[in-house]
This record gives sequence, C-alpha cells and structure tokens, in this order.
Amino acid sequence: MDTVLFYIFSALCVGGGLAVLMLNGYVNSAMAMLCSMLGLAGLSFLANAYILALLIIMVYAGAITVLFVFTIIMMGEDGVANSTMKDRAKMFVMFLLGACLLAFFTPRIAEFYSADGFGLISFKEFSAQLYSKYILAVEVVGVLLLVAVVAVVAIAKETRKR
Amino acid sequence: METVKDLIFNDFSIPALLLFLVGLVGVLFKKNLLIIFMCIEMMMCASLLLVASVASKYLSVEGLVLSFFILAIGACEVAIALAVIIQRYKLKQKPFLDDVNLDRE
Repeated sequence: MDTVLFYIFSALCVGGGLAVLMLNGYVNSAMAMLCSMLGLAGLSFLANAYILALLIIMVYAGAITVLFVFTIIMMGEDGVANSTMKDRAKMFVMFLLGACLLAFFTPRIAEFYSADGFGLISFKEFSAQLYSKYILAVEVVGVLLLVAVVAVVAIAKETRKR
Repeated sequence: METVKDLIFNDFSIPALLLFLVGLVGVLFKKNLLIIFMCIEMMMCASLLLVASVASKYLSVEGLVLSFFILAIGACEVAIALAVIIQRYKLKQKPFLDDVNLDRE
C-alpha cells in the first residue's frame, strides 16, 4: 500500500511540475503547482515527517498559491487563458509522463521502499528543541519576515511615487 | 563508514531530484517571470523534501528544524518577488524577461 501511495504522490509531484511548464495560462500553471505541492506533502507524510507535511499544506498549498493567484488577478485578464479540452489532455499526459520518468529512474524502489526505515519525530520534541536550542534562529527568522513585510511596502510605495 | 551518497540517497531523493530538474529546466528555458518564479519555488520544495527525508531517516530534529527555516525563508522570498513582479508588470505591461537589461535599469 505504501509503495502504491509513494508512486501516486511522486507522479503527482513530478507531473505537476511538468504541467507548470507546459500548460497555457497562469491560473492553470498555479493549479499545477498546487498539485505538485500536495504531492510533495504526501511524500513528506510517507517519510514520517508529519510536521513538514502539515507546514507544506498550510504555507505552500494554502498561502503561497493564493498569493500567486492574487498576483495573476492583479496582472489582469490577459494572463488567464481559458482551460480547454486540449489543456486537460495535456495535464493528464504530464502526469503519465511524470509516472513514466519515475518508473524509469526508480526500478528498485518497489523492492526496498517501506516506511519502516523512517523514524517519527514527535511534535513535542520538535517544538521543545525549536524554542530552546534554536530560539535565536527563530528570532532571526521573525526579524527576516518583518524585513520582508517592510521591503514589500517600500517596493509598493516606490512606484506610486513615479 | 558511511559515504555522502549513503547519507543522502534514500527513497525520496529521486522524486526530489526529478522535481528539482523540472524546476531547473523551467528557470533556464522559460521567459515568463511568473512561471520562472513558480519553478524556483518548486526547486526550493524539492530541496525541502530531501532535507526532511534525510532528517526523518536519521531521526534528527536538527534536520527538521532546518527544513522549517527553509520554509520560512521561502515564504519571505515569495512575498518580495511577487511584489517586484507586479511592479515590473505595471511598468512594462508585459510579464516577460526578454527585454531585461541590467545596464540600463
């Protein structure tokens, strides 16, 4: 069962990546990226990195994809192509191609893949380490986020002046 | 004695590598700023998966913390880059990279 899930998530991940490159229209590409991120979250889940799977779904699939879609809306109508039958067929072919690429590169995975080799780090352990040993790094990342917010506001104001 | 290959190579390295390669191809060959940026994000996610899988293989909390920080830095990067992309689009009215000239701008 795990092996089947592994292949499904990997195909979703790589096929979504290929679809980002091949599809017309930004919205289609953004949705393909969402598929890719969901596949990635599934893979992290299989690797027993539950915390990361949760974070990927929250940050990448949730926040960042929405940010991309907002950007596409700001850019106006011409960035969006209507999804045609051809696009859907292309998407399907991309997933098949992703699966084929994986099958080509991983002939041995079906034999040796199992989740047993991957240990589980509990949320308690993770957060205890994060807020004791790595507290300085957490603070630095907080400052980095603040700087990013200030920078974005500054960039937005810069062009308003022009 | 474990070599670097033994340390890094696990079941999840191949999907991660393939995703990274797809992203790299997009960055090298696409001309659309938004698509290029999506590809950069995919490359970052691929590295995230690799770090996380190695971390859980060796039960290393440090690795998981590292992947958490990679995620946070990715979020910062997205905010700033999308702001720059929107401003550039307002200026040029097209989202392509082909007329970028660093000497002039």
